[in-house]
Amino acid sequence: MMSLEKKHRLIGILATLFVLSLLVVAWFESHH
Amino acid sequence: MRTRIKNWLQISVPIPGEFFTKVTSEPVPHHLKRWWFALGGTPAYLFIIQVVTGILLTFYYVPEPGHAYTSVQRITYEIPFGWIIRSIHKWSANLMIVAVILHVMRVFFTGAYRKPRELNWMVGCGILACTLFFGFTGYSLIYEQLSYWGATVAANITQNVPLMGDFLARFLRGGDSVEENTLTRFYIFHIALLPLAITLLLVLHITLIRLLGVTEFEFEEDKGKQAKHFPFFPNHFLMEMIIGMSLTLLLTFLVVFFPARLGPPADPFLTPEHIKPEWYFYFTFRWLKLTSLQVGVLGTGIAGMILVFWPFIDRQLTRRFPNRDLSVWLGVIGFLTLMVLTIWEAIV
Repeated sequence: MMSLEKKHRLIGILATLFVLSLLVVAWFESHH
Repeated sequence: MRTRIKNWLQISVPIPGEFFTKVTSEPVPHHLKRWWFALGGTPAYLFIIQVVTGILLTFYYVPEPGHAYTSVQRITYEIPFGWIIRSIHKWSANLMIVAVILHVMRVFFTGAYRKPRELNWMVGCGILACTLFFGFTGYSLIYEQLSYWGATVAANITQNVPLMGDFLARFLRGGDSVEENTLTRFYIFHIALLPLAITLLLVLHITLIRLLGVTEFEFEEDKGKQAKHFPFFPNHFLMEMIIGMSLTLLLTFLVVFFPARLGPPADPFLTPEHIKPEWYFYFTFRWLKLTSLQVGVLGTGIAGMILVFWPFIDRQLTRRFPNRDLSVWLGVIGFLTLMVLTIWEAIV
């Protein structure tokens, strides 16, 4: 079983990716 | 004077002071000292901002096809502080969707939806659906070219829902096309039905959290510590305040540097070259483009159902494949797919 610490790190990585993807979307939106 | 007011209040509202102390001193698990575990309060805070700015916007907004766009134009460019109120409303709506998604992610990946919290997960899914529908109806009310055609496409997509598609599309539009009735319906949804629904769901969500308690997690670094809990008031309350203030700062930055603007007015006779919904529907839109309309609608519906009933699916998976963390990996695949579809739709 994955430890709470590892799950915690995974959430951090996914949340960062999510926010970065929003910035990418916003950038493309403003340049279209 | 203070004692007299206190006595008068105690006679008028016969609730003992101990009751309030008990309600506000609920012990909170230690792991909630990490701010990202306390993101559940963020959507509620943003919702209050939405209600206040929304009420102010209704003072000037006219929900009629002939006047809707010009009334938004007046709010944006003529009414004193109108642009600020509209921009706060727009950005807090976007941040609320982001906050709800982050909160869902945290609950999903820590497995906090498991027994006995399955129902509360489903209530949370209802809040997510309401938030998305809020965004969709609010965007359509602007009645600019893109929002008008976005609503038209969404209604056409709804028409392809198996069995009840025609009924749903007509119910949404109030006719065969997006017209006067549609705007009235979207307005009623946006300012009355959805606020009522989301308020009831939030009350139920918070009540269930209080009844069942917050899921207890223990990090390695917390093991061996004497205090496993800390009081809700003032400790946790102050932390929520700090998150709220940081959000206000972010909101101010977005409002000042990226204020809400207006595109060209809706023209039912001129289909724009590129029709796009708001960013939170990009994944569905891309998915629909990749598949046929029927498969696309069915796929989105099935994905929604899987999300709602995930606690029960997860239970079966854990029984069949114990110690494999299948739920976590399926969640990662699902989440990355949504993100890829969203970015894909944005860049083309």
